[in-house]
Amino acid sequence: MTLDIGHEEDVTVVAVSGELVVDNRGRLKEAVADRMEAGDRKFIVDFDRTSYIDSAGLGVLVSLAKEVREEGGELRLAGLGDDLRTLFDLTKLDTLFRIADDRSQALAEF
Amino acid sequence: MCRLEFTFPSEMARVRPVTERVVRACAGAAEAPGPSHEHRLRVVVGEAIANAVRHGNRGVPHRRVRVTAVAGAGEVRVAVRDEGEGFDPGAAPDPTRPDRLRRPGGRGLLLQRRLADVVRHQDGGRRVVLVLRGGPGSREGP
Repeated sequence: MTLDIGHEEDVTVVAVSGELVVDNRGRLKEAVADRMEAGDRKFIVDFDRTSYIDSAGLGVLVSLAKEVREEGGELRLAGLGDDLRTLFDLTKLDTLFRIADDRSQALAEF
Repeated sequence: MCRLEFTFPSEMARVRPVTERVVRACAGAAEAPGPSHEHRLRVVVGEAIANAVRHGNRGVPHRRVRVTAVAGAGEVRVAVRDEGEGFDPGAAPDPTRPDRLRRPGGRGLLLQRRLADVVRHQDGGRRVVLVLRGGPGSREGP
């Protein structure tokens, strides 16, 4: 997994390339925690280049959303392809997250 | 027709490599191969192996996980066995319940049930048999 972290005005965009799974989920958690420490509060996790998310990966997103929310911020998702979107639908996590079709839409709506 | 068999120690680092070997060997054997079928197989097999390592064997390395996969006749059949104490699959809480939705864990079994055509637990929960055919399905076998 590769994480590419960028900023669009006051929004932090974390682009995940490859797989978000049990072996590497901690890296995403650390990356967001570092940015929160630096004062960032609005996050978009962009999955446009993500091939697979396992249940541990879903779990870390739930944890991160809670941590960001507790600091007065929000974490939103974007760029989920059909297969990955299915995982959020089946687990009803689509009701927990605001999910945009792509990064541009997510930025426009933030 | 293909048949695979793996036995390995209970290490989470084994989950993805073993899952991918099953997917690469078996994904094309069902009636409707393609990204969605392949994705279903990857999720179902990966979550079953992860559950066996983490929850079944509780990550104790000397406890082994055995995976067998048979593909052919329009379906893929995968069995995952652990050496743990077993569990009652009927007692697993629904992670989509409002009071559990914000918990980080507990979604692996749900994904298996929703994405496999058959999920059958045997031997007190130490063995799970998963069957994927071409179409969607979500039923617990007898």
